[in-house]
Amino acid sequence: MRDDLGPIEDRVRRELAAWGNDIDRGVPEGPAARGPHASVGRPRVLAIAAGVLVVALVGGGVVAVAAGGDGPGDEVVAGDDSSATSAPVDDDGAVEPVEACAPPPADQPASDPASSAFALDAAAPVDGRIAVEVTADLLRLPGPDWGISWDDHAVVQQWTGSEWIDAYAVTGIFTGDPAWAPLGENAVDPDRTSIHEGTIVLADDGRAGAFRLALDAVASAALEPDQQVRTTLHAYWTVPCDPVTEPGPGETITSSDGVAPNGTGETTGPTSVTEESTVTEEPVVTEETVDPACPWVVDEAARFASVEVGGHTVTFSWEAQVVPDGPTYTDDGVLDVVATIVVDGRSNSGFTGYERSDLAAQGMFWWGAALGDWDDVDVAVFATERAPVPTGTTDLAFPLVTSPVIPELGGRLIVGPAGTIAIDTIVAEGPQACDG
Amino acid sequence: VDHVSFEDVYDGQRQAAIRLATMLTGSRAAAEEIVQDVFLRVHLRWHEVEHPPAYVRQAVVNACHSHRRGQERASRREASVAVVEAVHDPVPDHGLRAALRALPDRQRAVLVLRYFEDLPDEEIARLLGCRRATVRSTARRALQQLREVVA
Repeated sequence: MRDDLGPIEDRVRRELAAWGNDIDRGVPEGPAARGPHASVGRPRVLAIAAGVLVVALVGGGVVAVAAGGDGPGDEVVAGDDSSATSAPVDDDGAVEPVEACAPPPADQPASDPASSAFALDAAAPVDGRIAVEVTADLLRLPGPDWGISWDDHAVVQQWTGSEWIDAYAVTGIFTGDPAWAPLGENAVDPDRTSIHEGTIVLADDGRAGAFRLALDAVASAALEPDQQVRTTLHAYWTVPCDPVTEPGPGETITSSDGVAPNGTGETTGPTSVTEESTVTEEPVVTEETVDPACPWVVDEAARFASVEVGGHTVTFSWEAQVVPDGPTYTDDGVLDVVATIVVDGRSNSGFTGYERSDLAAQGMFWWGAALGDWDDVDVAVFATERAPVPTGTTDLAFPLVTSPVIPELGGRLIVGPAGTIAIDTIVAEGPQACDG
Repeated sequence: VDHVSFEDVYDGQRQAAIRLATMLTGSRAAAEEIVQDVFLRVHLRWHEVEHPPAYVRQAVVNACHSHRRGQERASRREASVAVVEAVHDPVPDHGLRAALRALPDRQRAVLVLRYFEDLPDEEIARLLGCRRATVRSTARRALQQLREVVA
């Protein structure tokens, strides 16, 4: 029989119910939820796990926000080697072959549209960066009080031989000023042009083929931003194919995503794309992928490798809990990916990746993991926060924390349409020893 | 558990698990961490789990207890003092909820399981690994303390 303490029981019951509602509604719980720990995602977990881990995470750094495409046609990027191809995923989840070395379309303009008030000048990426210059013609805009800006969503597309598909995610933000600015601010007399310069940082580059940068320039009225003129600008370049990797007559080159770039569909690699739109991978390790000068650095071609780091053997695997017909994110904002990291053959935990609803507005995304028991964490794997990418590609960093070795695992999370999820290109890097 | 899928349990239990873990730990952030870990374990042992909701609840209670012990241990480490203090900062709200938060872990757990989860004392005793009489005495002490605070 329960003790009857009168109204206090009812008050407790009501207060707990209200507390539960607040939790459901995401009402901040106080400093622990709305303080700096929440904003960076992982440190609070490190504090729970073991104090020594905190320092390691702080040193792990923050990776740039990613922007991805959406809907059918989004790419799945498999592998990072220069011969790798991009393959769009169609409505059924099938991977369409891409001709990596397709010549550029014959009618590609230097920049278009020629009739717009804007012009884009951009060169081929160097070290993953594209220098961009957008020029606006003041006389072509509706009024002197209008200004121009750049849309912060830009993509690099590749020519497949028949169409342009999104190829590289743009992870970097313009280092110039994409914000709205009065036209006259950057005007260069007597040409009456406004020039905006900046840099775009790509998630990847180096593949061969014909590419173009697609960037939206926007002109809008100073006092009525809804009145605007939006123009998609393109700049083109070609990266010649490496003669060594270029397929010869009758020869089939298989890319690291297991899809022959000539469209034969032959697969020899570890990747398979199932009818359920699930990309699965098996660990692949070759001795050639390890840099002897920096033994904990694994070549990008080694995916889901068992990596020797600091005397520990780390094996990474994952399983996607794909939402068959729904969005990648569930209603709870959970990205259904479960990954497991095994260290020295043991693990009683792993990690899931999901988007915290309270951080979504801040563009945060994070992953976490712990190996060993929470009570006695001796090895832990954590990820820094990411931008939520309903579809698209983003890089991940997994600081693997041990003592005294603090290497990092890195990888690429690929989120395709209809719940297609893959994690690709797991690499391990030492703290700083290999930087030089 | 051939009649229910992991996805169903996850969808149906996750939010409840977060509520419970938040109340037991006092931290939404820690609760999410714990719950994701719990569901991973459930997933890995799915074919061994006979009663998923009960298993999840037990795992959450255990994990929250483990979490608190881990925090106590971490707080003793010099390197983590600043961060742990931040996590444990008293919540600047007032009234009954603040008093609930301030209760000792075991007392708060008993009240949450009894008045929020509506579990019988016998089940609470099983979850907390104690006798039913202990649940009753713990609840009485907690309620008396709350009554003094809000009086």
